[in-house]
Amino acid sequence: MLVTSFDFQTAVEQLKTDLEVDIVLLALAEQEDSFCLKWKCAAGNSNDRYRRVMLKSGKGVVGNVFKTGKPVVIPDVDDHPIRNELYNYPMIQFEKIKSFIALPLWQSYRVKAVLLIGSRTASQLQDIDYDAVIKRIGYDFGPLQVQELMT
Amino acid sequence: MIQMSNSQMIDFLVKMYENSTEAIFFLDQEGKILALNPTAREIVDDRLLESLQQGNPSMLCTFCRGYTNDQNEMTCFDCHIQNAEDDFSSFQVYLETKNKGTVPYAASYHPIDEEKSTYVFMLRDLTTQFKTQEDLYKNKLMKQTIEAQENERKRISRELHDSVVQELISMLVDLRLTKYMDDPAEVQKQTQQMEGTLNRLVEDVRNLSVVLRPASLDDLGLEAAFRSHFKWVEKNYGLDVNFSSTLNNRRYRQDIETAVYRIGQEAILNAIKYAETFQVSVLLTELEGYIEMYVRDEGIGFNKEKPDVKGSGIGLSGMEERAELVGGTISIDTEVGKGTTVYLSIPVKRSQS
Repeated sequence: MLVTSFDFQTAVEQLKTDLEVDIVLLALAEQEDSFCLKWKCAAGNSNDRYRRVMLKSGKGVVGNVFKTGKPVVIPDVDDHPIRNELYNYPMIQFEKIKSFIALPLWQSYRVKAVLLIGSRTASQLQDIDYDAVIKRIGYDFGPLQVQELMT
Repeated sequence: MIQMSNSQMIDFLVKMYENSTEAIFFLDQEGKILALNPTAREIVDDRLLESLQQGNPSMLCTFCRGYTNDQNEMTCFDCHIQNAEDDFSSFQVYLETKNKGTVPYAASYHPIDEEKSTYVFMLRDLTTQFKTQEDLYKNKLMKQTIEAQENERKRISRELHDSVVQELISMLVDLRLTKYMDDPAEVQKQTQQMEGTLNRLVEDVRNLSVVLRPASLDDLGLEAAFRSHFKWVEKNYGLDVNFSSTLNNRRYRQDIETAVYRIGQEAILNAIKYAETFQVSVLLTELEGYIEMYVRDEGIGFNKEKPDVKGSGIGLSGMEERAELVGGTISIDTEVGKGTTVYLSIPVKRSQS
């Protein structure tokens, strides 16, 4: 478990305001050695479903970002191969997210969290390109680093 | 239009009557056979033909096995011959034939002489057409089945490759590393990490096996299997399943339990995929010798005639097939914006125990 006094909730809300997006979600790794994640914070969410969903390393969008450490950008969910498998990505479906960026967050060379920045309008995040988002977030997110190791 | 003399016309008509591959009967208004062409003679039983030739009027009914309406495949309800008012330009009728048993025909029946009340009843053998249609349907279904099977294999293969094999390789690397470690503290840390990896591996393999076929279904029965499946659904898909059952852990024949479980699973998956809802309720009960299951959601519903399919599109027909195999029926009640209810009913004869 990530032991920190950092207020992720405020940071997530701040990020939503700064980036002018519809929704920001943060999933944290459950335990030091466990390969499960849980959604911990949300801003702009329409329901509290996110608390129930368990994410597994390597499963779904967030699971893959967590496993590989590579960010994922999907500008239009309906125009992407995942559109027929959306039920495997409950948060995207529950919150009706149409475009999103999923970012790995690091601590001591391991992915510890995944940040999902989403919009309910397709292609809205295409204009705010990935680098711009990184720039807006900065290099640190509390105790975690927005660090690109493998790109 | 080509002008034709009367004699020419009669010549044509006689030839058509004699040589047509369609069976032609001339009937009076009660359905008595007045005349029949050679093709028709081939259909009709020899004895009947003899009695006809001896001048005994015979009814069409003696070898007619009924026609197809929107309720039944073979019925005499509202018989066309008795009730010639409606439009009977084309319908399907079953006749008992001399050599080929009961055969479906495309038929037309209409008056040719109102005054004398003469009717013509023409038949075209539909056997080949039916066979083609059946083959077409079978081939289509087979193709879908193979595709679904292949997809399932792909999924399992990917699962094995992505989780099991990867974890094993990572274990192998860790193990190799341990060989070269001298510091006991380091070895300790390494083995701890390997333990974690092994635990995950066990979990993955167990999951894979449960997805393929839950052991609880065989060992503990429907309710236990459903409960653990719904727990898994809630965790992975965030969907609440309200499950209630009045079965009280009663057990049924294995094929029935499997059918109920798989149909329930498919119905839930459909709700996850399409209903856009957070809640599904499942009710399992036994009533008057039938095991019944309701899967109800308050989601967006769908158009039954034209479902917007995500996937192989074999789910609904697969559910029907499974139900049919154990003598059950399934009905899906849905409308756009009205939610969906899947109702399953299977007759059960439980042995006295």
